[in-house]
Amino acid sequence: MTRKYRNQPETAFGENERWHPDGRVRAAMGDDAPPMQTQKFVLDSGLSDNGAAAHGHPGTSIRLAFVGLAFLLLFAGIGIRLYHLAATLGGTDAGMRSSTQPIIAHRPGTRAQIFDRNGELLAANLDVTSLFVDPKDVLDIERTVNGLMQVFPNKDPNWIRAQVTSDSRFRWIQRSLTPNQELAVRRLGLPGVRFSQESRRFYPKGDLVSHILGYTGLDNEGLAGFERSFDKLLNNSDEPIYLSLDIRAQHIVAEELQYAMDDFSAPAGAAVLMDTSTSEIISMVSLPTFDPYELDTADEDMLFNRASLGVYELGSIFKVFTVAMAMNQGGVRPTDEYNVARPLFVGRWEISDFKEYEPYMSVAEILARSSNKGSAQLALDVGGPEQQRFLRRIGLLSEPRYELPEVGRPGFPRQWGKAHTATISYGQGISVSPLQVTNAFSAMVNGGTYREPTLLRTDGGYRPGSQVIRPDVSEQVNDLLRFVVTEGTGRNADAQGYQVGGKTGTADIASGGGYAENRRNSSFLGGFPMDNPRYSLLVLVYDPVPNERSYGYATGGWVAAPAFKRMVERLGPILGVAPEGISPEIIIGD
Amino acid sequence: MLRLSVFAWVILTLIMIIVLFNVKAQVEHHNRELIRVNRAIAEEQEKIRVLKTEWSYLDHPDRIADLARIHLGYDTEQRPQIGQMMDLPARAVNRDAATSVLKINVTNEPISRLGPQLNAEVLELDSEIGGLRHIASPDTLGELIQQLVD
Repeated sequence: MTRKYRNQPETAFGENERWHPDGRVRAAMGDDAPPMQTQKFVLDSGLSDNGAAAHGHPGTSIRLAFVGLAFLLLFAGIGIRLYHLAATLGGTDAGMRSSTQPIIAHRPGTRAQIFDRNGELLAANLDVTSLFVDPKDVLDIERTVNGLMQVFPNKDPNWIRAQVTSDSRFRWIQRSLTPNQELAVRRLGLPGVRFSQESRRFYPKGDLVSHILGYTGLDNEGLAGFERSFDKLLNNSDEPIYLSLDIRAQHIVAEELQYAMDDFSAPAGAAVLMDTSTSEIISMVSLPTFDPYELDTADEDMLFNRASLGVYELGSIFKVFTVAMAMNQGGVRPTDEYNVARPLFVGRWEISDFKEYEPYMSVAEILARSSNKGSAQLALDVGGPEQQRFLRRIGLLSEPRYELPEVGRPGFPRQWGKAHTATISYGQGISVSPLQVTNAFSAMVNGGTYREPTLLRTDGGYRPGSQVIRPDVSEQVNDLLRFVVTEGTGRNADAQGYQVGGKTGTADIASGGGYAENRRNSSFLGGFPMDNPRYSLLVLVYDPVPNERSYGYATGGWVAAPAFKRMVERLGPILGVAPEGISPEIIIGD
Repeated sequence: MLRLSVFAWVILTLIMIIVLFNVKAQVEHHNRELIRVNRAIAEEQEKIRVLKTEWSYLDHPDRIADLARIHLGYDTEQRPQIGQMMDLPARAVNRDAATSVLKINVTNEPISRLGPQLNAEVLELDSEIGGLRHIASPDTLGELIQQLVD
């Protein structure tokens, strides 16, 4: 072997290194003494130059084995990749996984279903077929028109002819076919008549829950109610949503409220049923209601959610809060007596009662017989600022935070004077929504814990709240509320067996800066069963007209209380409230 | 030696090609099957959605109240809740006689993407004619859609 060097000391070259014409030094692998210099070495097995080298040197076979191994690994790698590609058809692992689980994957254009607390379907998207015509492909105009007329006898033949002969290439004939119509059209086999699939929102319960669910537009976008506030979630998920509503309770409350409204020729009404311990809304009704399929014909009056967007002066039911506040804050006891006979002036206003009472009345009687004077004195003793703080704590001075966008802002005086303290103590001069007041009432009877209302099922889970009155005060309030029904103005609400307790309310309707003559809101706010209240219920009938059976009265005790009673009698068994104190030998029937 | 190894490699490569081809063919077959099954599941789910919606529509409290009034004589106006043992009706001698029968006809005619259409017929056992008496065959989905259109 020849050996040459250039610019390098001889000792720097190993045994297997040779001078290469391109002026670089080639080095063979496996050399015991690699060159110290930082020169570029090129792999050379020696086999390519001279086959004898493979046999001539002891390191060659090792080199061969090494190279063989490298190629083996390379081909094995290629093989594994080939197998992988074949096994996944060129897809990635992630792609494979998703294609095997399309059941969970969300289908665009659909919307999540909504259920009530018991799994009754309230809203769902279904695929529907629509029919259109491409006039260019229509062969026989007469046959097409006649065929379509058979399926849609209500359509104008001239209109169909106009669609079939139009210059356009796309004309709707009918959106959302019924399966029978689709079958009939398919059987006709008309060229140019085609179908397209659309996803439409269905509300199988119709107008029963329309104020809560709201409605969607043609492109499945939520426009009102729950559909609007949960629009994104409903559109991006297939996970169904369970509301706190009980559709059976909703039906009963709506039916009985409608009955009371018809009975007293009232134009509107609202009712809210809540679970006192979780503040879940079990039923929320606003009448008149609207049909979610007939939004065109629904007027403002029907679309308006009176239960949560409407705010009303609710009258004497506020005395519940005044009495609770006086007992909690002012140390008043139910037996403490107040003088309700002498005239009561607050500033230039005189506080008057519905009728004359005996001079002295206990707190229990003030509530049971609904004395404005007594209530005003209780509030004035506690004081305006404390009253404001209390009402704020039970959520009556701020918009309630819950799942619907339709919430009413409560109306109350900015300058809270003494006269306001007096009138607000019996519910005039402050307007709140039925939802708010029912929720505040729940805090009064459930042991004193206030929670924000919710429309979502809590599954018995704990919901945080704040203590607004002491538990012992809450218990006393419950006794007083029961007393109102057994001995006071709420007698007509006494549903036998369900230990109803509550308070009537009759409030003049505000009109043009003052109060309308002889127009009022009649309400009853109560809970049952009073030994451990599980449900609170408000019935509000707007502007009832007295009838013969109510002896010319249209007060809360005569209008709302009987409706409350009928509701509780029907709700009790459904909500699992066992009737008490009734011997099985007594037949109850109206 | 070298020839033998080359020969072995060629054989190995051929085996690998055949195996790979088979694997790929099988995977393609399974994939087609998977797509078919998935499509069937999606269709089935849509059918279930339709049925659930139909059921929810038929289960409307107003309708149940009407049915209860017509067939059971239960009127919400009276609603007696607590009564005596005497008031309980005598137990039906033949349990079947008091039972309505829900008969479901599934036609396999592929009329729409909704697949086989469900025609639920409510039939009642009629003791007089000694057979099933037809009460109603609601086209529920049609009714639902009709509401949407009207």
